[in-house]
Amino acid sequence: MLDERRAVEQARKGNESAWRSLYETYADFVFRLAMRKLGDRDAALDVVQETFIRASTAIGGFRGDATFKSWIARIAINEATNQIRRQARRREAPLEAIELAPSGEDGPDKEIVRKDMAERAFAFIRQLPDQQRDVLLLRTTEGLSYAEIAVALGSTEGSVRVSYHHGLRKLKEYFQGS
Amino acid sequence: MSTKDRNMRPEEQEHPSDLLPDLLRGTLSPEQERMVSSHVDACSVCAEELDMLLLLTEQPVPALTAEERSRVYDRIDFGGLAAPGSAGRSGWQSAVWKAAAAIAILATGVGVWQVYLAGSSGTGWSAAAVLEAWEEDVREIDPSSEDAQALLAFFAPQAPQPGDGLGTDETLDRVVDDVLDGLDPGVLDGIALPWEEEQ
Repeated sequence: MLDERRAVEQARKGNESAWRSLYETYADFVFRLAMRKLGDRDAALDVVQETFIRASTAIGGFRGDATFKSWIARIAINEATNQIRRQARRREAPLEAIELAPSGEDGPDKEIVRKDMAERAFAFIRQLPDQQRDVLLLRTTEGLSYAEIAVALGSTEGSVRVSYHHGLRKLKEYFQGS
Repeated sequence: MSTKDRNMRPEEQEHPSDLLPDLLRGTLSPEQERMVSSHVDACSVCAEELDMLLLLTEQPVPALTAEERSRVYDRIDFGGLAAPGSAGRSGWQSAVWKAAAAIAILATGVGVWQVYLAGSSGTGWSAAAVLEAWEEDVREIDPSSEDAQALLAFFAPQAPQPGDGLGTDETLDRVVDDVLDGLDPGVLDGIALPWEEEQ
């Protein structure tokens, strides 16, 4: 596997091995983002494809002052947002509020219950305003820092932080049924 | 967590909400982890928030199967796409470049080309980024030529105007999508693409 900086340099020159290296490193990351944002496997695969096609076209504009991960995240987020628009912002039915299963409760059903809750939580997150949704997903499920998210979204750290807390508050309210 | 917080009992400290995702991922320093954990143990608000975040992160992570990974890679065809100016691009890719060229010509015509360039941050895909590599070629197109006039006639109804929110990748993406949706390849045949010129 090529060193990432070297891989990016080579990718700029059209080196297919370098692109393969970058693809192997970030395809899953892009797919996870798209899956969580879209909730649709086929659509997420399309996002992976379009993200790397666009990355290969725009790599000349990547100056390396941000991480490649933030840069590719921005393309992926734009692509996933475009997918949503193409689906005419298909909105899911209003979701019923849910409560977290008591943490001390164990048993064979607990895993199923929490999986169901998680699916509903992600469905709720997908209905949040664009920036709140993107920030919440990047921060909680991908562990990106506020600085990295700001680059990925073309925003500022302050704005990203505010969006995170707004999104988180709404998610809490959803969990609490308020 | 501030210095002042360190002298307070955990339940009296400011909620370390920003650090909870890092606590779950195990990316805090040992001192931070100890302080945040102590706070969470004594604070029901943060404990509940942590449980909620745990719910989001404990589920199996969506992953590409080996077959999907390979199939998508083959569809991308990096060998054909990656080298600027190389021959053999897909019809889709040519269409994007031609649409971008059309937009460039139009934008020059309505005086907003600079807005496009100014709006390109260089950190994401945009028509401006696509065109950056082709700027010289675009400049060489004579706006009064038959080809340019045909393009203007074809795309004028879709031409962006000042005040449309120009300068964002989102707008550019939308314009390119709109152009592609209505693209008649025959109209654009007169434009020589960089890789075609090399053939």
